Amino acid sequence: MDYFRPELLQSLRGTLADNAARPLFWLTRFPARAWTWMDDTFSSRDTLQERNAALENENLILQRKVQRMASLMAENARLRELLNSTEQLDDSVLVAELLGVSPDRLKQEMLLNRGRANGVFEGQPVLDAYGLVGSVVEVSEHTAHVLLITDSTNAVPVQISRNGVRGIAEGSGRSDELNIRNLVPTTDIKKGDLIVSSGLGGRYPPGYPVGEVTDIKYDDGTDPFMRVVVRPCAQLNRSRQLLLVFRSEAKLNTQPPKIITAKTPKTKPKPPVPEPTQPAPEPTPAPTQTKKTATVPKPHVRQH
Amino acid sequence: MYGNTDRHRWLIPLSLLAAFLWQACPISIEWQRVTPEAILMVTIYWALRRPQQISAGSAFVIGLFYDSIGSGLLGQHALAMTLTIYVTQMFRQPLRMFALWQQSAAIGLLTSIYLLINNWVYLLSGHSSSGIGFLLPALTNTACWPLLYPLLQRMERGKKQRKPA
Repeated sequence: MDYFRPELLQSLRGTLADNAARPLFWLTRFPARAWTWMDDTFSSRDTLQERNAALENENLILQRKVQRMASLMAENARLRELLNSTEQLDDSVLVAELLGVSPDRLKQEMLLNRGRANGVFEGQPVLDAYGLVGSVVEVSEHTAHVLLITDSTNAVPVQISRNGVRGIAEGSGRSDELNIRNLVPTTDIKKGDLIVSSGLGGRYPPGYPVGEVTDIKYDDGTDPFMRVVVRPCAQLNRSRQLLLVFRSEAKLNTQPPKIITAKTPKTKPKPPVPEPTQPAPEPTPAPTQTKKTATVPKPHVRQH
Repeated sequence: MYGNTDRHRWLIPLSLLAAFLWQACPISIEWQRVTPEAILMVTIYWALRRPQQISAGSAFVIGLFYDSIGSGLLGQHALAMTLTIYVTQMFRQPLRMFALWQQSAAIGLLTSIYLLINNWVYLLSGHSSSGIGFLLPALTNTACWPLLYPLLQRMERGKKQRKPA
């Protein structure tokens, strides 16, 4: 990253990003915004009603999925408690909009419209609707630079979701390719395998989709390992809405995630946990409470 | 030849703003590899036409603004821009006498200098080399100069006086 950077230059950088870059990127988005505004304002009542109905339908379907998710999460939490393994915190997210793509060709970075004022911090993981996008490398008051997972200086600790084999996915500098190197040629990996983040290293949260295996290459002679080519799940070239994940902070401070959600203005509400029959151990208890809650699910297990 | 300064006072910042907007437009990363360096081209144009207004010093400031929208080290575009404009100023007279196609070739060379300095800073700051591909914008700049030069020239001269200089 940046070497020999005293505080003064950093603040100058932040000031430039907030006062010069942000208005400029806002201007570049102006036609798109104007178009959306025109579309919203001048579309007929019928169209709006239609769209509303479609969205409500979609919402219903998603709600159903969330409900299933919630019970699965509760079950997962109980099983983890039985195994005495670590707690999986519920991530809270902040929706951010893409301001622009860095004009530097050799670096794959995006600029988001959220900054320190919204609680964004350096190293924060960023997702879109389809998978992992990257992490925040630089924050100013109202903007954040996101280094994409495909940048040639980025590497994501990953595992194959099918069997848990671990590896490190390195960016290739191209927007549609990641590479996993140093895998033994006998590793069980196939084309079409889903690669998810493993959470090792603590920078990226575990379990988010990173990409899909598209090719497996063997170098004859020189390299005894195989090279796995992965296509990112996230739509790095297309997504306009991105999600900033608040997780690492909760982990570092060992605080329950509720405090984080209170800090951030626009967070996704936690999915409701429907558990009608049981006294319900909390699905996401704070790490400090683990000992207490660990005793609760035992009678439930005996019933089966 | 240097008449009508009131017009130029606005034309230089406006053309630069347009170039900045062009460069800041969010387009696909794959296409970004070949997009011309519009800011550099416009700065070179004004350094050729109006050396009093756009010198190496103002090129530094323009480069600094470029850095603010970019993501590299603060000052890398400023450094590259300053050096490139300095070289441009050194060869200002012959460059102005060139025919358009010769000028285009020269612009390609100047862009290569700019890109080389930029790439050099990238490599120093820990990026791995990704081949010769970073020089592609030099080609597109060469191709775009014959379009940009007459356009800016016409705007500079205005409609009334067609062929004064």
